[in-house]
Amino acid sequence: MRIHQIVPSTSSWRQLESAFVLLPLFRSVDPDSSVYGADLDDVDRDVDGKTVARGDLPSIHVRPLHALLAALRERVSESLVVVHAGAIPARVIDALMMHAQQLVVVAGDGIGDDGATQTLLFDAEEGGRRLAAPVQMQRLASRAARAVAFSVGSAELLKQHGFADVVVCPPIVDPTVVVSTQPHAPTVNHFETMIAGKLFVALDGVSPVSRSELIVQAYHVVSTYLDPTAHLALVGPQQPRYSECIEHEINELNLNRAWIAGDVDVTERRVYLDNASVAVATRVGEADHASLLEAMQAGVPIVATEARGLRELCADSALVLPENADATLIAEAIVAAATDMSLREEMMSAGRACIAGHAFDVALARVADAIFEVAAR
Amino acid sequence: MDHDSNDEDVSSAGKKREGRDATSSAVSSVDDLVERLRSRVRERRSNGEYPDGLEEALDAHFRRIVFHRSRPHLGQLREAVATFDERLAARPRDVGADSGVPGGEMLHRVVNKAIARQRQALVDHMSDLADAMRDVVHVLVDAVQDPANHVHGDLVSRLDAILERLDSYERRPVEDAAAVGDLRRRVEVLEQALASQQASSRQASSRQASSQQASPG
Repeated sequence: MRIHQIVPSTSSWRQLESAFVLLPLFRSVDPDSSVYGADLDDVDRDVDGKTVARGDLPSIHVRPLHALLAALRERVSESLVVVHAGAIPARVIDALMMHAQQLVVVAGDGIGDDGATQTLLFDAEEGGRRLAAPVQMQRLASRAARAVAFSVGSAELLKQHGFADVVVCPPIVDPTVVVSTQPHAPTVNHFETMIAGKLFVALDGVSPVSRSELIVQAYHVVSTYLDPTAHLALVGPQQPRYSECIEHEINELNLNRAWIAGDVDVTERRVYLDNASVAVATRVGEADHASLLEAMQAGVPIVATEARGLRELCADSALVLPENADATLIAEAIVAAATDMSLREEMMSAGRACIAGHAFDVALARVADAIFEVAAR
Repeated sequence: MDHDSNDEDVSSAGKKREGRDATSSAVSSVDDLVERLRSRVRERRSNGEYPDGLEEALDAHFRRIVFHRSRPHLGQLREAVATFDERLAARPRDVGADSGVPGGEMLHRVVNKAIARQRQALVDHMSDLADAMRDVVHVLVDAVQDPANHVHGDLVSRLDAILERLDSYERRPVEDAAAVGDLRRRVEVLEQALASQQASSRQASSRQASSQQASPG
């Protein structure tokens, strides 16, 4: 089987018989990337469509993609197109409509009007490439044999877009990757010598969808009015321009104990998780499964605003606030989750139960099965 | 700040969650907890611990940051450059020898062959020119995209003027402090002079009063 990746300049996919449209299932480091993102540099980007994904699995964000592609490669004999749907130009969708015989859409984030204010603010200048517009989704729906969603909420949204056959699968995430890694010694030393006080971490990156500005504002409330010794680290992939704004916000609010750690590798990520008192997530749209599962695996209580799939993934291990929660409410929730020992214990216990019910291999097999069923029709 | 009692509230709300396995009751217990947190925010605000309009001020602050960092929409420019590249990459079409006139096809072939060398030279020259032009366009686009690659002299001079004025404002408090000090010193001198003048006039008036009392009738 050949696995093709679509880049805007390629034309080889026109002859393909099936397509597998991968919406932003995996986090992208580089928002300007027209394919997957810079975190998939080890995947060949062959404009002739002859090269399959290859290489080791250097990152937790890349591993699920490789594993999924490998699983599909073993079972599907036809050509397969992998498209990052969040970056699909209209003309690529035009061609998919005309040429693809089988089309499976795997949908994570980016399938709705997520992150209305900030996302539009930034993406409008970049041609709206991040989000698949509803009209594009409707066009995909008209051709898709099946859609795979990772939450009931996303499945409902896909149905609203017109997808008839929608299967809900568990997210393909292996949260044990980080906690089983040896911690990064210099970072451990830094934390031991330089960091005193509670550490709050946001693990799903710095982007408009993550609403990092809201986390910074909540931290401002915490450090100014509730706990002056607290720290905040924003960990994960950064959207450069948005990240620049967040950096200015941190500086202008004089938040000396807050910093953007960025997309650190797993060994450093491990240190952040080991030292975190609370994990904070204010993402809009689909919850970031990977960071939530990592936090639960590491025994870190979660404070999060409502997002698709959040409650079904985290159950009682997250203190779920309304999506429109403001900075003061989030700040109070963070402090409660950090200081109330019985609440912490209860959340950590619930997190352990959630983790016990999640298995990477099972999730992978479920998604691969869902795609294979269509390919076998 | 009644932090301990608030923690107890949260703790008791957390304990209420124990033993509830149904999703709906879990959701309701989280909602109870959220409601307690909300009431705590209201309490702090009414006590004056949180200033009024805090959230709005923080939102407005971030909007200002974003507003000042917006960049021009360059999508149309990128598309135009892509079209330009595509057209440059296209090879010149061969001129056909078809003709509706008897013998015309032969004549066209002869003419094509006769001018082929000159035509190829012209095509090569045009290709070189087009390649050079493409390089120029790409350099220009890069310069437009990256503000660090080009300078607006008029803006720089205005910026310099603004910075100079800003510097003068920053220097002014020092000058004002000196002026205030000078004024204070002069006022003190005047006050001292006035005080001594008043003292001497009081002495004069008391001497006059005592002399009047001393003189009979």
